[in-house]
Amino acid sequence: MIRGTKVFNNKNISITSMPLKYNKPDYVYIPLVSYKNKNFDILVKPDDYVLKGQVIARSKDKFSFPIHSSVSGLVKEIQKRKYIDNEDIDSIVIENDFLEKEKKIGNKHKINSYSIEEVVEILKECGIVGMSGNNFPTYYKYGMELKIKKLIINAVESESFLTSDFTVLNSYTSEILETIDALMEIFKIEECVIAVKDFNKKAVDDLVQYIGSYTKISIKSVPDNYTMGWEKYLTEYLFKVKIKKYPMEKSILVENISTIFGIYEALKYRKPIVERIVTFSGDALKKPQNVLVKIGTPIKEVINFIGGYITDKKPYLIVNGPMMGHCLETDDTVITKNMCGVIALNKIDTSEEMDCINCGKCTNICPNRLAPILIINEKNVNNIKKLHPEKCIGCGLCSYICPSKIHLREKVLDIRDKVIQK
Amino acid sequence: MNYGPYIKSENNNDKIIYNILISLIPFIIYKIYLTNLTSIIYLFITIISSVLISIIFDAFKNSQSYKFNFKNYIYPVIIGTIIYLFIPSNTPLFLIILSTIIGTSINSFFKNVNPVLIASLIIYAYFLITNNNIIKLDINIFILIGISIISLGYLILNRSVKFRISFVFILLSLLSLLIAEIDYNNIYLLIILGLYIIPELYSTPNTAMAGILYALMASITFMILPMPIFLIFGIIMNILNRYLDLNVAFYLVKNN
Repeated sequence: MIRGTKVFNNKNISITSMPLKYNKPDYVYIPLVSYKNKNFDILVKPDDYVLKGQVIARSKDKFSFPIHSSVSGLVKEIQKRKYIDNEDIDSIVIENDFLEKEKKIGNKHKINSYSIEEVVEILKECGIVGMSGNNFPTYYKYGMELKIKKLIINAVESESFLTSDFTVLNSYTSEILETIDALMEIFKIEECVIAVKDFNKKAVDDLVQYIGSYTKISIKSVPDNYTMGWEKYLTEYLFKVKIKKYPMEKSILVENISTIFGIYEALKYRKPIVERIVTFSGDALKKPQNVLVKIGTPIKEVINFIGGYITDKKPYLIVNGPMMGHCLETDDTVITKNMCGVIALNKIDTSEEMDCINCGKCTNICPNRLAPILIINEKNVNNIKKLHPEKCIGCGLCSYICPSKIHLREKVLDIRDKVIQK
Repeated sequence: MNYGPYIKSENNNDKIIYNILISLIPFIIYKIYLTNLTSIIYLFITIISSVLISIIFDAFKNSQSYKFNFKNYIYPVIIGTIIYLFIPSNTPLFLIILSTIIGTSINSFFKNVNPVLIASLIIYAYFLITNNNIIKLDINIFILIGISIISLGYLILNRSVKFRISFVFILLSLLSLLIAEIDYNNIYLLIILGLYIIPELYSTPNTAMAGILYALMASITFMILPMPIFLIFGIIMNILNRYLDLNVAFYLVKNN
């Protein structure tokens, strides 16, 4: 049984036919982070001229990938800059010369002509990562030497407000289908399903027109239900299989639609991810919309570019959706590869916690069948372990549904971290 | 510090408690109609006893910072009302006050023990010991079914009841009552138990499966035991529900 609920949707306000393009930041601040690694060998120094897409730093750590410049111009300095997790991170400052000079790559490549090893190497060199928020390097998934039988393209985008995946799907439909077809050929994948929410009927209709010649690719709409985009749920729903932990147990790979477009650019043009579509939405913005923006651009600049805030009062800035995302401390934070949306809200729910009334709603809605209220109230360490808080995916449904407004998600995640550390 | 999620469901504790109170109104009107207008005094007495005891305990527990706010005492109002609905109409006044005070007092210390079960146990035990006859209500089954559907429907629509517990308890118990003998007074008690006493929030398990097991046990004991013994079992089950809940949660998460 699929658990979850319809949450406040509010996607329509940011949907436009094509994303607006913002490629005019005076400076970009490229954070030296790849997945969880922050140890880098910096390959440039102040006053060096860099090309757009040039590698400017490398790390030898596991799961790491190179860091690329998102503009052409002069390297200025290395300075601390707010990262998506509100930490101050070393970032390479590059002054944009607006010439968009790129390294010559020769002809366009036929994207189905690569071997598996070549694909993995290109994805690594181009720094392709999970663009739905996890920042996990994509090359690792394709290089696991496990047979991939089925592929799910996740365009569900469960979170409220976010429409960046929807925009990618609408704007680059033929490129996405071409990439899926190539991946299926290279990895000998038997079947592919593109999963779209019931809500996105337009995307389904548009895709159906294109999909005709791709016989192994189908499109399925899934219920408009929060956590439907979780890969475990999505796989179980689409293929009627039981997943214990990861879909790869059943040789099923789930890939985010924006990541697929990143793969397309990498395979076709050897272009790393130096820009991405980000949803700017929320009631505090004058013109909510999707913007194609360079990695390392301060959020504040993009917001000013699309019309700014409605009032002078500083709004709450939530990154990657109001359910699983978190508040940013400042709009000086820069755009990263794993930033799919910035939601500016004048008001957020700040209800005070009340005593639990034992309604059981949190235990009945948890997609992983955890009992959040029992986890946070339990004193016995052995019992806590038996309640498996480490299985919490942090979806936030428990906190969303709780009538006592208890911060269940935060508390369970806190206990989860302690259990994992032990 | 702001904690996510930043959007929340509109449901809250106050709404749930008010919804329960609103759903009780048809039953209050029907009970007053079945007894007589003076029985409204009994209703006031149970409510006042329950609210007063709760205020005293709250003031005692938070002697430094206590501030009266009537909103905090809607739950005792509900407790008082349910006691009024569930007890026999010929219960002596002193016993109503005493049982309500004891029930509410114990509940002030042990939230997981249903105060209505304690108060009802005292009253039904009194009738058993003194050999006094309980005056049965002259129930019109159609009216009873009608108000039950309205109240349950209202609670379900407003997500203010553990409906699985209500359904399992009422349907199973009803089946046994229909097989044995059709006693409309027992059906009335069964409905009050199934809608308000057995699924009471604080005394029931959190997990749906534990709730169903609890409702199953409650309906079996209701079917085979006389009322006072059933009420004792109910209180014991309230105490054991935490362990039932934990073990069901262990099982569910392990097998997911």
